[in-house]
Amino acid sequence: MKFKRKFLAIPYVIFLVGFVIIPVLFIFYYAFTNKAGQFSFENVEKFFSDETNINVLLISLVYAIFNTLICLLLGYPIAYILANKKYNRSPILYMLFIMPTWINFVIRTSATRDLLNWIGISTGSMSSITTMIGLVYNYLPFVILPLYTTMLKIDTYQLEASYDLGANKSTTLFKVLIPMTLPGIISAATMVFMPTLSSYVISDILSEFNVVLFGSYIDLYFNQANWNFGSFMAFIMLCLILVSVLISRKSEKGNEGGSVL
Amino acid sequence: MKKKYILLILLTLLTCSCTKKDQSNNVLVIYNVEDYISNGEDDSVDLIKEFEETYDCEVKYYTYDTNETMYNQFKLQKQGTYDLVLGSEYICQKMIKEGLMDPIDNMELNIPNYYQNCSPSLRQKLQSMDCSNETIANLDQYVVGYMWGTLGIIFDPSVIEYDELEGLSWDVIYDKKYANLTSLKNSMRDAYDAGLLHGYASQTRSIQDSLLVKYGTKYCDGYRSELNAYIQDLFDFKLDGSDESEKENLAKIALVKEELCKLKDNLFGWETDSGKNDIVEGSKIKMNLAYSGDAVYSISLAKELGKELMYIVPNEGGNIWYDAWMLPKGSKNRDLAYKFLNFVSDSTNASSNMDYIGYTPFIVGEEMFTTTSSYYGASDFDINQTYYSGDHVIYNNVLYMCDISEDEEITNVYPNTLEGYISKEYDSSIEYEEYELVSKDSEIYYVTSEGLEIVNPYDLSHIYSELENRDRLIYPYYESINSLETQYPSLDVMARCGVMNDYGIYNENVIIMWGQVKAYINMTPFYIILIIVLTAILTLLAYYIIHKKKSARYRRYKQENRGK
Repeated sequence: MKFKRKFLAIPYVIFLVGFVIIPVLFIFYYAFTNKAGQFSFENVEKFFSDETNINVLLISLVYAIFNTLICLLLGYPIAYILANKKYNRSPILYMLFIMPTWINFVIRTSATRDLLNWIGISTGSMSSITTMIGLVYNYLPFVILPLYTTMLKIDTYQLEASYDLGANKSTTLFKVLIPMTLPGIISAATMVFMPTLSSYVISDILSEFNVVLFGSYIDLYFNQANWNFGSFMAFIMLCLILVSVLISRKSEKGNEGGSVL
Repeated sequence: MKKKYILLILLTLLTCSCTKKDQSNNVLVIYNVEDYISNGEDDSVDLIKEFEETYDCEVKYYTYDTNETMYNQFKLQKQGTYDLVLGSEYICQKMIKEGLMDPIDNMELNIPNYYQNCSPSLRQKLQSMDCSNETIANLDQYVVGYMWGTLGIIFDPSVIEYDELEGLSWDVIYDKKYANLTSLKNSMRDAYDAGLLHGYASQTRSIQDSLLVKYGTKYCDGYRSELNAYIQDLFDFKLDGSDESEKENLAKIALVKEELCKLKDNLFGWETDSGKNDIVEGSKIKMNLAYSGDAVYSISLAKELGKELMYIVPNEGGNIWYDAWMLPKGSKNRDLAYKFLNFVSDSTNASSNMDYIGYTPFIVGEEMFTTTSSYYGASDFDINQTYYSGDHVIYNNVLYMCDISEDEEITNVYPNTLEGYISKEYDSSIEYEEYELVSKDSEIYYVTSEGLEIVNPYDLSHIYSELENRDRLIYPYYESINSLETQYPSLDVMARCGVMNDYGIYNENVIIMWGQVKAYINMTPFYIILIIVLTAILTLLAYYIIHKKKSARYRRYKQENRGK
């Protein structure tokens, strides 16, 4: 047998089949069967007949949208400063922003819970605020990272050219900088939006289980041994994520076309 | 190349055979709740290690967090994975009904310690619980009791108004005065319990009043048994299958839902296992729905820190639960499993278990009584028992205290010899500490600043079987009265506690109800935000399209001009 380069992919293919494809097939199987293992649309009916289920989904959507917006608003200027040689001469500052991700996020979140209570933001009575703080804190590095890498690639002379041609600062920002970093913004947004939809540890710990996101709602059913309904909700989440991926890819492509013109 | 493959195959075969060798006769696989056995931490006895050494075997000890996790995990594994599984009474009923468990074979011979030392009244409770649809079977035939207790409220008496005579009502967790000070267990069944008992609280109170009129006193068997039957009725779903009882059951679930949704606004939050430490720390919560064993743990921890906590089963009823071992069908090592059950049912081991985890074992008997009484107060002296420094004993109606150094123990010495003991007979010339125990004229008293106050002995005869040389009475230390009541609930508390049996076919309804309660929130702000976001997206889209058209027109115009 002669060694071929494509053999190198074998370990990953095994991993992919075992841990990605087969589990997804399991989700499909459980989502469209009942407890006796027969094919049925029981779960579809159950999901759409109770408004609670849809409400939980909407709540998660709102949290995800807010989280994405806040992270972008906070992360964009930071990434700009980090990427700009005028303000940041060493990579240490950049490390500081990424460092929180080195600590396990469950430990970090538990510490955040005590910290917030200590400074007087009660995780019990202000649970939606504390959840928001926790989400932003955890996902901010994931926004800074892609924005930082796109901004590094920007030629600063182009910004100077913009000023030379008479544009003021805000015009430069909206007409030059943001369009040029749009791919970074989109990938940052997808990196925050989708995980927030399914996150539940942060909301559980920081809201004393008061804020129920879609992830913890699915967990509630899995915990009670109702695998079929839980899987159906996981399936719905998969669909949502698929849609958001498609949208982001499409807008990325559209943007490329735009920049060529 | 081929050689390499052969080597690989050989290697895998070798490892396979190695693992097979491991699964010899001497491995016992146990599936227990986390932190539910004395494990050698904090100077406790490591029971598992001791068992391994005594019987020369290996114990594979796995743990879980909730009964539901255990059920899921158990069903996922192939038959015969576990030799012993612990579960609460309802999950035991469910699993036995599903035919997953074997009955206990010849308890007298196989588990003599349990047979002799188990509390008769608790075994009677197990016997009264059914676990099978077809044959006449009760829980006692299938399980070996491990720990039991109640579900009640642990609170900080300096914040929560509490009157010793009136007890505590379930209303207290709904009280707006205590908003954001309470946490509940993030568990469907425990939350259901609180909602149900509060929902029916006024009805319960009126039943209690009418029973009081009927019997004249709360402290008689008639009152207790009738109240218990009523509370048990509240917990049980009517399962005769008629439309009427179905309506009633669904109404019950709807009521609990309403109660819990109302309660949500008043809560600090839900907790899984953080509550027992948070209540001691005391900055977040002042009240918590707790199991009696966790309460014992929290109370003693608080005492070490100089704080006071109390545990009470509210007046309008509570939940009593039993955790027990089951023998899974097809398990490989039944013999060793019996040996383990016998081992943990041993008085000494049961008392070190109680010492470490705080929960109350099913095991009673001479040694357990000595451990309990010397921890919580004074009791009659027994020459066969071992006593340690600080233990109080009563001999010939005189109170003595064991006065030896910390690490010593004393046996076979009568207290009146005063060798290792000092008399605590009241002497007005001596200065006593506040609420110290003394004896005077064959009675036991607390010394208070206003004189002597008589001690009410705590009777354990409803749990303990007859003891050889002593009464089943404990004269508790003043600060231990509540802990003792927590560890061993009195007859009156047990009368107002019901068993929450498996929900049966209504489980699905309760799960849906629980999901609705957890997700219950005022949706208006969310709808508004979503509408704003949607309009924003649509406006942006519209702007983008118009802009594109405009620029396209502009380009076309330019091109046309260029053409000219």
